[in-house]
Amino acid sequence: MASITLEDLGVDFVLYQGSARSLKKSVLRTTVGGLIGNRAEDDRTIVRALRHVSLSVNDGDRLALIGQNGAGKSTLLRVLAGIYKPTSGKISVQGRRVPLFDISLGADEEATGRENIVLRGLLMGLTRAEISERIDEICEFSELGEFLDLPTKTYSSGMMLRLLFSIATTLSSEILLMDEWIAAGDEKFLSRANRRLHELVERSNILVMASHRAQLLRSICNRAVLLGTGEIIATGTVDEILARYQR
Amino acid sequence: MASQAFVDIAATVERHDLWRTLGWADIRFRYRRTILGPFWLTLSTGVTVLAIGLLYSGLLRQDLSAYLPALAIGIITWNFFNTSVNEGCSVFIGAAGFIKAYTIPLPIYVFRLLWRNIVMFLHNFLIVFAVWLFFRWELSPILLLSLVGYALMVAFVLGVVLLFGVLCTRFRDIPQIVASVLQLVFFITPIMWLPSALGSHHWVVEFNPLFSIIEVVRGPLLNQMPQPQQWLIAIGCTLLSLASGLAFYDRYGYRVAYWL
Repeated sequence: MASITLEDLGVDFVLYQGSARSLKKSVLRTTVGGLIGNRAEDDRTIVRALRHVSLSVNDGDRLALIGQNGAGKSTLLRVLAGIYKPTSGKISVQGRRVPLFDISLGADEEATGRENIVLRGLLMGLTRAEISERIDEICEFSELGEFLDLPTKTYSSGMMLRLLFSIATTLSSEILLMDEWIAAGDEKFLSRANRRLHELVERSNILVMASHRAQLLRSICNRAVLLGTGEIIATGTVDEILARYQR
Repeated sequence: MASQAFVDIAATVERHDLWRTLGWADIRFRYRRTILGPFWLTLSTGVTVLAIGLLYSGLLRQDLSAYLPALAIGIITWNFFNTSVNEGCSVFIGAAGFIKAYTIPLPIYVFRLLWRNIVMFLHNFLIVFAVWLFFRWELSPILLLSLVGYALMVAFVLGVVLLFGVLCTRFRDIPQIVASVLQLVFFITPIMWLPSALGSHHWVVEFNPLFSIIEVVRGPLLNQMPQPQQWLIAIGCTLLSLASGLAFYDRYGYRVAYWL
C-alpha cells in the first residue's frame, strides 16, 4: 500500500553568491554591523520554487506533472524523492521510492558494462543479491553482447542509454518517479523499450512522471496536475490538463 | 520521534553494499592503469618513512630501532586522519550531482570516504609489517588493543566529517582553514619526534588530544600499553566528536541539498 500526501508544501531556495558563502565575510558583516552590512549586494536571493502544494497520490495513480520549464516539476519530483526536505508544509510517503532522474550520472566510464550494472543497481537501491538475480536478464535485454565486458567509455550514447534503461526497468519499486525520460534510441529498441517501460509502470503502485511528451503521458498516465510558477493550477485527467496547458 | 541522524545512519549501515562498492570504485579509479595500483601509495609512504627515519634519528639523536617503528606507525595513522578530515570537508560538495539525483541517505558518502581511507590505511600497514620484520621488537597480546584504538579513531573521524562536511557545504572557505590547522597540528603532535624529547615542555603533548588518539593505536603495536589517561582522552574525544557530529547533522543535514 503506497501513498504520498503533501500538505501546503513549500520549497524556498536561498541562493548564496560570493560573499554570502564566505564564513569570514558573514562574521564581519554581523560584527561591523551597519557600517559594512545592509548593502544591496547582500548576495542572497530567495527563489520560491514551490508554494502551497497540496496533493494526495494513492495506489494505482499514474500522475503526470505538466507545466512550463521552471514551473517546479523537477523540484516537486525531488521533494517526492526525499532529496529536498520542504521548507514549509508537510510530506508523508509510504513505500519504496525509486527516482529515475539524471540517469547518466554515476556511470564509471572506465568500468565495464557489467560493473556499471552492479553500481547502478546499488545506487538505485537494490542489494547485491537482488542484482545477481537480475543481471542475466538485464544483459539480455540490453542486447549489448560482448560490449558488456568492455569499459563503457567505448559505448555510443545509444548503447549507454540501452544499458541504463535495461537496469532501470528491472527495478520494482512501489513509487516510481521519472523526470523527462526521453528514449532516444533506435527504432527497434524503442518498440521493445516501450513495452518494457509499460511493464515497469505496471509493477509499481504509484508513478509520478514529468514530461513534455503528450503522447507518452497519454499512454501511461491516468491523472494529471498542471504546475505554474510553483503552484498547482489545476488537476484532472491527462487530456483535460494537456488541453488547458496547450491553451 | 526518531532523530534524523539515527534514521539516516541506520539506513546507511543497511546499504553497506553501496558504500563499500563506491569506496573500492574510488580506489580503482584513482589507480587505474598503474602498475602497482594502490600499492603506489604504500611505496611512496614507505620511502618517506625510511628517508625521514634515517635522517631524523640522527638529527634528534634517537636510536633508530626505537625511532623508525614509532615514526612508521605515526605517519600512516596521521595520513589516515589527515586525508579523511581534509577530504571530509568536501564530502558532500564533491557528490553534488549524486545527491540531487538519487534517494541516498547522506551518511553513505561519509562511510564511502571512511571505507576508502581504511582500505588505504591497510595497504600502508605493510610498511609497519616490513619495519617489524627488520627490527623484530617484542609483541604481546596488548597488540590487539590497537584495533580498539583504531576503531576509536575511525569513530572520531566519523563525527568530525559529519560536522565539517555539512558546515563546509555552507561555508566554502572552511576547507582551507581546516587544511592549515591540520598542518599546524601535525607539528605539535609527536609523530616526527618522540615525547621523550620534550623535557620540560611536556604540556604540549598533554594538551594535545590528537596525541592520545594516535597513541592508543601506536602504543599497543609497539608493545607499550598507553596510560589510562590517554585511553580516557581518546574515548572522551571520540564521544564528543560523535555527539557533536550527529547533533549538527541532525539539525542541518537536510539543508545540504539546498546548499549545493
